Amino acid sequence: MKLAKAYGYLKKDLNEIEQTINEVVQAKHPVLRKASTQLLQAGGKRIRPVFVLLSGQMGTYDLERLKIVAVSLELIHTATLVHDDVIDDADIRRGMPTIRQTYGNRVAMYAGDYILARALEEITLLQDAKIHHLLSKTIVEVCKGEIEQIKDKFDSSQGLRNYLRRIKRKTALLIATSCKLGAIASGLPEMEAHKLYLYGYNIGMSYQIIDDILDFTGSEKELGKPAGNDLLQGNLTLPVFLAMRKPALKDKVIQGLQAPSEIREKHMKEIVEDIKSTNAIDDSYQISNRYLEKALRQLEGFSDSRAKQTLLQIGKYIGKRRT
Amino acid sequence: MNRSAKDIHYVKTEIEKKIKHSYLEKYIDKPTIDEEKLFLLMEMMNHSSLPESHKQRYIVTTMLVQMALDTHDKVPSLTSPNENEDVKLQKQLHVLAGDYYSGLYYLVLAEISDFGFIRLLASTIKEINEYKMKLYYNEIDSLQEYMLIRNLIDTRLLVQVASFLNISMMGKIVEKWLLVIKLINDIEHFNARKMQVHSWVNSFFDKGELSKQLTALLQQLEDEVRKISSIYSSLSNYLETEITSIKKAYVSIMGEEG
Repeated sequence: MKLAKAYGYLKKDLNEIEQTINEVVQAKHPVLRKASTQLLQAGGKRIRPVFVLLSGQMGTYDLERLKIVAVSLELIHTATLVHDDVIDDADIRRGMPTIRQTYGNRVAMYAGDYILARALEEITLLQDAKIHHLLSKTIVEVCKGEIEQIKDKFDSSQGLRNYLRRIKRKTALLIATSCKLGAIASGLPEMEAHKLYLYGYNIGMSYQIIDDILDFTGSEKELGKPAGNDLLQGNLTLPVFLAMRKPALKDKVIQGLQAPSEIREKHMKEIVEDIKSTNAIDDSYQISNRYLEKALRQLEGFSDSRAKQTLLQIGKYIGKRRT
Repeated sequence: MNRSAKDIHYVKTEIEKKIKHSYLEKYIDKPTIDEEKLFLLMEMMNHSSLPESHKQRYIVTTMLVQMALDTHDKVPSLTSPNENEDVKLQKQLHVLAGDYYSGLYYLVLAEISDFGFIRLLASTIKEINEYKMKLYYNEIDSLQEYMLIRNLIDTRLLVQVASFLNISMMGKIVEKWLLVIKLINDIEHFNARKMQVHSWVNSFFDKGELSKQLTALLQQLEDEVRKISSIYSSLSNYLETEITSIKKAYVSIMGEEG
């Protein structure tokens, strides 16, 4: 089953969110307007708005309030991606040229800043201290996580904790925040909102681990980049940490990371194959599943509802994701 | 050190504490904290009826936004095909540092649930980026227009803060004073023949025109400063002294040809 089918009944509300996102980024300057809408119009899973709406359905569903949260979160995520493409010198995202590729770094910086500013303008329409406390903390943590990612690149002495902290900040926090903000905006008590936060956090961790596994197991066609690209870029992910339990492979990884860039690719191709031949992939799936189980357990106290069923389905879908 | 210099030092230290990040500090220069803007902001806040804790947060967050915008301007317009690892790291960290300072501004204001000020700063960032696009694409037909846009980019934050505090008169003064500083810099650069701005802007520059603008601006500023002198005595004293010394120095700068 496709993920989108699980929440197909939210289509009308998601369309409204989509329309508002598009309205919100209509800058006056024509190039800024084009740049700001370019990535948003290229699609994307809109998983954060989905979590906002589903969490919102667990309380008193108010689409107008939830829409503000969902739009802001999607814009914050988009602004991050626009700036990430400058960091990574990326040419393509979601199958389309990146803003930095089309207009240059500087316009990408202005567009990212513009989109983030619009997100903050939007979210202040909701004057709820809890929303702003959580969202502002999350934004700062996400930024710290990105800096950590650069710091940890090619560092073979880092531990598994670095990786887990990184993916928490990179992916899990914004999903957790989407769930909790949806809950807060629809008036759920703190305890239930926190459970939804933990659901989102664990789903995010599981999702990112699987993404990191797929970087090894996916084909170039599926990934849009060569397998093992994360490692080639110096990013150590869970399968690498687990494979490095074998001393010989650990030495090889260290050598590969230290190799001059001209020959690194050849080294890494070999290492990718070596990693795939160990238990590292299976073990990574097991760890991902543990996060998933924790996520699903958070829903146990909620009475049965369509939203709860959908949150469960999304979790199960993520667990089974192999492409 | 007079009282305001001590205060400026204190707030600067608070801002530096707020942005402290060991990895960023290791690889990129500390962002510049514009003391002139900091002083002007402090003057504005000193005369507002805000609680002390809010005043400092407003100053710190406005400066954080300024630093975020300035840091992002350090990202090169295009990535060189020969970009080495050090240059790449600098570029990456300038992107992230700017984002980090933006996040901090939101966090500091969220802590006191000041939604109005969060919104004001966000709205001004949006506006400034619109102006930056105009400048980036050279959509300017005259020196006056160039200066107007450049000045909007430079002063919009402080002007909007003044307006938020219901002291628009201060906004006008701040706008003019910061433009005076820019014009003085232009004239000095012009004299030293090291105008670093785009070549198309150079073609607009005319020393006589700059001189005329500066004279008119100083006059307007003096008039406006007089109007606020009874309330903002320390600021008006400061500006009056500065205007007098600029007038003297200005004669020597423009002397040979002016």
